[in-house]
Amino acid sequence: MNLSFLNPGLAFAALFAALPILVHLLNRRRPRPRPFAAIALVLRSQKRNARRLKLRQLLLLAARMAVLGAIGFALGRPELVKPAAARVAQGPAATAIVIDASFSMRYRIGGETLFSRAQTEAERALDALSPDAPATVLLCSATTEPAAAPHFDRAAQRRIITEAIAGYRVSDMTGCMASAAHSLGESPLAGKRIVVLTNLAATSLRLDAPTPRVTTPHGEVQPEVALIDVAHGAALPNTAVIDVAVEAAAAQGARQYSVTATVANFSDRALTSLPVALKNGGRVISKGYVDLPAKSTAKKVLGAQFDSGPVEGSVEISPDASVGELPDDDLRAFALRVPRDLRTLLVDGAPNTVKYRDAAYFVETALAPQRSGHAAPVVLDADAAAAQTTDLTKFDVVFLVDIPAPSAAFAGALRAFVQGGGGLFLSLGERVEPDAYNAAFAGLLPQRLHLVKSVAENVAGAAASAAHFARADWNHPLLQVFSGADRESLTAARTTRYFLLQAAAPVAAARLALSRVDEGQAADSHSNTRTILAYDDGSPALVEARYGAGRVVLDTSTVDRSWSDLAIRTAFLPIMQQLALYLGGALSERENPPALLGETREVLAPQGAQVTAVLDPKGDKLSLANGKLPPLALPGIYRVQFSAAPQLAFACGTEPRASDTTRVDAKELAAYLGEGNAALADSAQSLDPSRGRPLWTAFLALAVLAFLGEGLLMRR
Amino acid sequence: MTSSLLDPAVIARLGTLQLRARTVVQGVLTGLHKSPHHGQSVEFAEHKEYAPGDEVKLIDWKAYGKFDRYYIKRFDVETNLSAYIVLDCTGSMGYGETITKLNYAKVMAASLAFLLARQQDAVGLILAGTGTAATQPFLPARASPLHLSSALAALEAARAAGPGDLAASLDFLAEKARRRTSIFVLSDLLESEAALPALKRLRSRRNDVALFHILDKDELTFPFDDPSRFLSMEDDRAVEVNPRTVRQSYLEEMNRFLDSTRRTLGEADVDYELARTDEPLDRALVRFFSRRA
Repeated sequence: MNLSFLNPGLAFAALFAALPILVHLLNRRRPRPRPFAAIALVLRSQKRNARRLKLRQLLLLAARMAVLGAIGFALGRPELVKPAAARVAQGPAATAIVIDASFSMRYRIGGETLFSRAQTEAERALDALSPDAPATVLLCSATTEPAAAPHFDRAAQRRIITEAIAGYRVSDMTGCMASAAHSLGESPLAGKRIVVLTNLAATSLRLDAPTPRVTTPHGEVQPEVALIDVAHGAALPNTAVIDVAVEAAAAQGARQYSVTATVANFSDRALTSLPVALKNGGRVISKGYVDLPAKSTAKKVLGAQFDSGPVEGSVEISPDASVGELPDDDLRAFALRVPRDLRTLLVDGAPNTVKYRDAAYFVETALAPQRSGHAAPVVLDADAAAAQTTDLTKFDVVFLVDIPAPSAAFAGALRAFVQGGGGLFLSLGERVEPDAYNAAFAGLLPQRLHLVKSVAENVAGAAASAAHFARADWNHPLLQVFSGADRESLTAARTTRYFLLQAAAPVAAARLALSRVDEGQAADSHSNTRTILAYDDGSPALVEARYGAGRVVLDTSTVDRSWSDLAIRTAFLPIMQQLALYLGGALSERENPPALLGETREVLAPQGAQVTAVLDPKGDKLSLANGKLPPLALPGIYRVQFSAAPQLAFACGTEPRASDTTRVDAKELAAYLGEGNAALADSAQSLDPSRGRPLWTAFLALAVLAFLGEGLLMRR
Repeated sequence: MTSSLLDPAVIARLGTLQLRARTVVQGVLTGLHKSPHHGQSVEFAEHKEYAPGDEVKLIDWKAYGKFDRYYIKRFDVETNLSAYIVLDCTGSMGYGETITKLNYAKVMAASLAFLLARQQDAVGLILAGTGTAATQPFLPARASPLHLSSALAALEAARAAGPGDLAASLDFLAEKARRRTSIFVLSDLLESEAALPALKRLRSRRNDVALFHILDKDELTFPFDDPSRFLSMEDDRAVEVNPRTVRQSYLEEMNRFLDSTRRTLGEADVDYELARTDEPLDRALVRFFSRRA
């Protein structure tokens, strides 16, 4: 606490305290000479009382000085003000007011957000400045512009404060203080002050960074920093849902999903049985409880079955059980598009009662509902009449496994099927006649068949001579599921026989987007041929081509164990499932991963469609620049609307560290800023000189006491 | 006699000491000094039953005729008293506004001298403090009227000045005076710490010693208010003091001094009479003689 005067000029009246000394000095020159007979008794009395008299005289002098000095002091209206306030209140100085606008400032205490408090305190700090002190106000958010040079437009400064809104991201308060210090260098005033209004959240402060310094013509100086803790020293316990991951749980059944929520406890006490709810359409569809030690995170998996189509849900901590008053992170939204159930027709060209010799067995097993999450494929014998006459419009994907060249009618039906958007997978084998195939599937095959190439007698004895997948287009949606060691499972597959293909047109690059790109496409099949996998000799192993609105994928070997051992490799199951999804058009529908605040996201319309609007969680339209959204600023569901395609939605959440409300120790922060230059205060009220603790009444009381004391001493 | 005439202020304005003394004496009751010795005298004192050893000639035969018992007649003997008046003339006796202590004491001394002379007693005088014991004025005790005039003249001429040694004067008197001499000492006893032992010595020589303690009202009440520089009246001592701050202490010292003096002299059977210079001059004498009558 420092002493300050409201009427400094009148405080000089305290010099009246010297009057008793002056009177004493003047009086002592005029003692009256008095001859006296009993001087011995006077001398004895004086000697006996000398010490007591001296003390009494000193006390008298002190009392009289106290009377006059205290009255004079009181006239100056002294008051006690806190150090930070005293510094800010003293004299004109260029001042930068930095307001923390990070997500943690949305924390509520007593029904009021810390940011609201900061705004109030900032206005008070502005009021406390003398009119000749230039100032600048810096709102410190995640995307803070450099601070403006200090100026005298108080209205503009006040406008910045009143219009400010706390963000949803972590602010760099250290950087903002440095920016403020830099702007103060543009003022010619010698005094440099930074008033920081923050909740001291550790995530916003970097104490390993250099302290803010002001560059002046005379060199660098350290500004005075007044830290105003808008949390008033209170701890800010908080719980938050910091991440939500949604994955299909095919083993659980059709359209079953597991929603994994990561819940964090940023308080100093352990939490038990914290309720976490999964909501869809405002309705709780699953609920669980999680135990959280202090300062820890835990994952909670909630299962749910969603309907096909777009889903917008959220994981929430029950408001009643949530710790702290930061409700924005007690909920985390997610969005996904639940693909429709794929209907698969599997035409088996070489059925066998021994399952592992059945050409379609491995495919059927891979696409079983418990593994794919879709309906069980319909398996038909290629030789059966049903296979030739079945209604293909009931299916999304047709797998032809080692069938002989189909009839013209069935081939025409297939062609129409693919043209209309269906997916066709062709796997070859002993029963395939190249010429008949080329004739039956003319225009439908990605490349025309040439002849069979045998590199070894059988798989078991062909470890050295068997063909391997030597080249792979890992960016292809079919292969994107493979990474690292997973790829080895695919490349280690051995093939002994495969069809060579006739030369095809150059492969055109496919365009991958967030949404489907296949619909409405009608182009020459050869121009769309793409080799996904190739053998050591460069011969295609897996080739794709578009046909109309559909796709055709050609496997030049078998999907049973007769020509290749891929069917018994771990890579077989994912590649078959991916193949079914890809050809059924379901794979691209699931590619709407969540985003984090601050990210920029590219929005590409499906082929033949255009982006008509992008709406933020509040429903406000966002503008696109070169197909990119501006940095995402609000948490929640963003919706992208297309002219001729279903709406795409994706969720955007806060950074996990934004919910961390752990505070920096005030002493540590003061030490970082320099003990002599920084002061911590709870309120900017103390910045106002009129808000100090008045002392003049105390001084008047002292004067009265001294006066009474003087009277008592005089009587004795 | 009226008290107004004996007011010190009035007395002080009277012309000569003799006149002043006569004025005072007129107001004083006559006192008689009776001899402690019983003997042949015209004034019968009492009868005492005869005891072996008594002189037979003193038997009252008339009483024997009446009572058939032997009684001895006893008579008071009236004698001429030899008295000395010791007047303290040190500088401290010069204090006083209306009347100085010395002037007050001089009138008292003269009055005593008159009273003694009126009884045909021999009166001697010592002016203590006006010189050394050897040189100070000394008038031996005589009963002639001419001697009284000399004593009054000496008193008239006495002045208070400088330090003095009252004790030395008293010791000097002890050598000169015969036994059973009445000695009247008039002094303020200030600056005379050795006087009390000297008085005790005088008493121990079987003299009748009486002290008239002359003090001014200021010395008894210390009425000063203004800061003062108190100056000694006998030497160059001085002290600056605020009287208000030491008044209480001073009065305590004064009371202690008076009590000590009274107690010491009382223990030595020396008569003590405090005489304030602001009270009528005869009052102290009346009190004194009333007590001794």
